Amino acid sequence: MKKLGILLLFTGIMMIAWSGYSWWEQTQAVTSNAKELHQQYENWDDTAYQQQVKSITDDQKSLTKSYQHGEEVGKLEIPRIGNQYDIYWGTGADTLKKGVGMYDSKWTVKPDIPGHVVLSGHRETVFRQLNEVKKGDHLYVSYEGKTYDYQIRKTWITDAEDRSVIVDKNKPTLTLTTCYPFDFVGSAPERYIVQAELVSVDKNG
Amino acid sequence: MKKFSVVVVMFLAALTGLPNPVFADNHGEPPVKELEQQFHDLIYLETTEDGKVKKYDSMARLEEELKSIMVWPLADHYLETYFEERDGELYMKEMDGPVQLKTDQDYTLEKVSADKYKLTQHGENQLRGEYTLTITYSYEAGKWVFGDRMNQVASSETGGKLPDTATSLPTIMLSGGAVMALGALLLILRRKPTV
Repeated sequence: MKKLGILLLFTGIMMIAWSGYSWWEQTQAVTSNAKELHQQYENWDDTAYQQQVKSITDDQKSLTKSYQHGEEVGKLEIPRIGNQYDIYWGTGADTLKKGVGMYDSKWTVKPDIPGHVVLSGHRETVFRQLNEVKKGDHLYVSYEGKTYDYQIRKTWITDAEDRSVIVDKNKPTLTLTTCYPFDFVGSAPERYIVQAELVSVDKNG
Repeated sequence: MKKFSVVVVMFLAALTGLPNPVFADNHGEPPVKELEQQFHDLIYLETTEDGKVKKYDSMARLEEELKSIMVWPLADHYLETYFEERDGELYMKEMDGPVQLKTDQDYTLEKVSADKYKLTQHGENQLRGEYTLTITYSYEAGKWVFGDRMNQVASSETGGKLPDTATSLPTIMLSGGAVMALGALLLILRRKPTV
């Protein structure tokens, strides 16, 4: 009885310690620096409607590269939350443990190609404050030496099986996805979606 | 006399018996249009330019109203999802609201039991594409209320699957806590002196 009690106690402590450490480790993909982001992007809270960039000129395009899943490809910055996130290629379980994942599929593209860029992140670690962003806010994606400025158009909740979100788009669009509800323990039945349109591209941000 | 007593007892039992289909059936059908209008009036509230709700000044006040037309967990879900309180004022979050029933268009209303009806409507909109709205009505505390509302987007769409963005870490942590508590309980019980 005593041995079993000690064994269970020890196992429980190990489970908490391991999951706590993994949780902490995954949150390290986020850098909080609200002040710097607000200085760097002066128009981050200019929610006035800006016209969507219809296409990306050759001058704006980077040399499109191919990546291995899990390879770092860029950065996402959300001044409203005050966070900067590392972006990795792919959205598999191992990649999402590292940080924000860039969806790799026939429907989606990299930021330098006019189309649909989809970024996903865990709701408990990287995207736990995603519900704080508002319509009109700016999201910045740094990719291959350029900064892509997207303005949020809409936010909504949909069911986890929705296949109408990650679809082909003609115009440069950025979609962020995470699980919903945010305080739900276990596999979530819904997804929180933030969709934005490209409004400008700058060299070196 | 004995027969009469049995009849009286059975009659009384029938009167007081709760699971009585004869009386349960008297609930009739839920007032679909009326409930939908009330739902619309409480979810799509008039706001100022910065999103402040004009009609209600607190979450508690709106909660009270919502809980009069839907079951409590559903009311909590709508409050948490679409509203927030800031500086003592009630604000509507800047996001697209839930799918509404188009009462002027076709829908099916199916009786699940005397206390439950299920409504289904297929629709399409720009945001969600094709979808199916399912509403469950429950008869509670003497009236019909919303038991659940779900909108499922058609799986026939050709887009990609949304990634699973929930980690198992909180579940593992909670399980670890439970295992630890069990271990501690075993050790405490072992130390207890036997009489």
